[in-house]
Parts: sequence; C-alpha cells; structure tokens
Amino acid sequence: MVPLIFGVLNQQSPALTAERWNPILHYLTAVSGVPLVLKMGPTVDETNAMMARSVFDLMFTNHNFQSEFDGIGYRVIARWAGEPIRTVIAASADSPVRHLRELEGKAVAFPSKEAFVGYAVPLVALRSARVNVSEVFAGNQEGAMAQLKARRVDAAAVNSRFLSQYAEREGVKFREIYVSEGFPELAVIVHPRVPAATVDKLRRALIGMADDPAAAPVLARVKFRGFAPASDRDYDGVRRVYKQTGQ
Amino acid sequence: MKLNLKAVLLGLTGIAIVLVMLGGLALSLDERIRAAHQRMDVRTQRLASAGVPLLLNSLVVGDLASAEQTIDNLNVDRVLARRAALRERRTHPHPRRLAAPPERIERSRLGPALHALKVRETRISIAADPVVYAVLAVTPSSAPIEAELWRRSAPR
Repeated sequence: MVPLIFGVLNQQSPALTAERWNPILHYLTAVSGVPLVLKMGPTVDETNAMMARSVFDLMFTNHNFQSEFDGIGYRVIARWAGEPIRTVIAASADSPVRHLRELEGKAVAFPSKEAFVGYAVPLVALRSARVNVSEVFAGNQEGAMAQLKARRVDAAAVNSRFLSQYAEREGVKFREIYVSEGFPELAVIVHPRVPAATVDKLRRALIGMADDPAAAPVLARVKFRGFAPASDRDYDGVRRVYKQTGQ
Repeated sequence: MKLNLKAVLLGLTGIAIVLVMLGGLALSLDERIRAAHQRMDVRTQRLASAGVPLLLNSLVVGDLASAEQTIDNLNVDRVLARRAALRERRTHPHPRRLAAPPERIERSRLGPALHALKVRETRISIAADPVVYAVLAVTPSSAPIEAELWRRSAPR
C-alpha cells in the first residue's frame, strides 16, 4: 500500500519536526491501517509551494486558509487539541520595551510572511496601533526566538504554545508585550483526492488518540493532548485575518 | 680462557641490555598506538555526532545535496579516510541489523609489522524515532595518528 504523504508546516527545524511527528504518524498508521509518511520542504515557502502543487495528501497547517489555496479544496478533519493559540509579541525579560507603541522603528522577528499567528495577526495589531517596525524574517518560530535570544532583534512574534515550550526548553524568560485574541490550533487538513473511507479511518484515529492508552507514551513524549474534532467553519476567524492582510 | 669468559659475559650482558631496551621500546610503542586508537575513535565519534543534527535536517526534507555537503565539510581536515557513506536511505520502523563493521589495515611508514594501524568503521544512526533515515558509516584515517606517532618517535 502506497503511503499517504503527511505534510507538516515548518514551525521548527525539520529535525525537531520529525522527532515530534514521526511517533504520531507511526501511531496513526498502526491504528488506522493507513500508512503515513512525513514530508516537508526546507522552508515555509517551499512547504507552502508543495501544498499548492497538491504534494500532500494530508497536512498540519493553517496556511491553507489564505485565499490563494482556496481552489485546491483541502478540508479540515481535526485540529491539534488544547487551548486556542494566540500571537505573543515577546521581548527579553530585561528589555525596556513594555508596550506595543514602544516598538516603533525597532527590529521585530517574524517566522515568515506566510505565518498566521507569527505574522498576519501581529501585522494587523501593529497596523491598528499605527506602529511601524523593521521586519526580520527568521524562517520559522525557532529562528525568530533564536534571534531574540541572541538579542539581534528587539522583539519576536510567535505563537503562545511555541513560546512557552521554547522558554521551558531553553530556560529563558521573556516579557509578553502583546497577546492577541485566541484562534483555533492548527488544523489537520485532507486533500480531496483521498477517498472518504480513508479519511474516516484517519479522522477516527486522530480523534481517538487522546483517549487511547496505547497512545499515552507518544502523547507524553511529544508533550501534547492529541487531536480534537474540527471543521472548516472553525477557521473563519483565521480567513478573516488573512483577508485583512491581503493574503 | 679467562679472556674468553670475560668476552662471553660482556657479550651476554650487552645482548640482555639490548633486549630489555627493545622490549621497553616495543611496550612504549604499543601503549602509544593504543592511546592513538582511542583518540582516533573519540575524534571520529565527535565529528560524526556533530554532523548528525545537520544531516537529519537535510534528510527529513530529502535534500541529499546538502547532506553530501555536510559530510564534505565534516571532513575538511581529512580525518576520515573513506568519505562517510550514507548506507541506507530507507525509512522503516526498526533499523535492519547491519553486518559487523569491517576492519581495515593501513600500511604505516613506521614499519609494517609492528605499527600496522587497524581502523574500524564507525556507524551512527541518523534517526527521528521510529524512522531511521540513514546510517552514517565512517572510516577514520590513520594518517593523522601516524604523523603524530612519527613526530614523537623521530629523534629531535
């Protein structure tokens, strides 16, 4: 049986992404009987280009909600479980910057121009506050936080979940200058070419993961709660923000 | 007769001294070669380990050109005799058992019999569990160690 290609958005380096996702995909393969293999591009842009070329059968992302991908027909089948994600614009704990307006003219790191909570949401917030910043694109969230940690930028915009994981892993404290409203976690989307029966098996395996004792070691290892049910309508707010930024 | 006995005694003493000296030299060389082997193993492990995260990044995205480049960069000092080889490019849940690493003997300019340096291939798995992307097989070069031994053994 030819494995389905499961794409993952570049939120971390490919190595860290594989360390997180390979155990999940291995579990899903075992439970659903549908073989899955991880694939991603070296950069967000390349991964998005692969999504545009319909390389992926399934994907973990929210970039598909940009209008340019509307024609492909990817559908939401689940989402990463947990609290809504928020944009956090963070500065070093000892930074003099305390408010959004104090970022005027300062260097701010973003994962990429394609990022939703990492760019679209903070861009709308900065525009609303009439603050102009010098944009630095770091490739992914890991890179954005690394730039802030190395003090090459004054602030970085990342998602709240990633920030807390990064701060814990690196043992570094950050000050939150701006926190956005909540948006649903990234979605697992499926390409329209995947047969309905396969989609159903995968959806059941994804949603059942949270309560399956056999999945407990995987969940503990990659530090997440499993997947939650979700539909396309849950992401209307994401589409709205992308539209506000012209994406 | 007296003179002959003296000569024999002197000769035997001389031979004994030479044998003791040669034995000491052999022991000292053996010790140095052993230490050199350890240093060579540590150096190879350190080099290969440093490259694993970079190689994993390249292999996850299927960028074999970057993987090749990383291996070349690791070997700028020509510490590896044979260019590191990515033995497997298959992903499977459990790595296959590989055959025992071959041992290679490099001829040394320090003398073939006593100083032949055996170099063993080191294998390092490049994996994001449970997927093994490749097994990196590196064979260290004995040349830097030989050079070091030669420097230490050569008269100053």
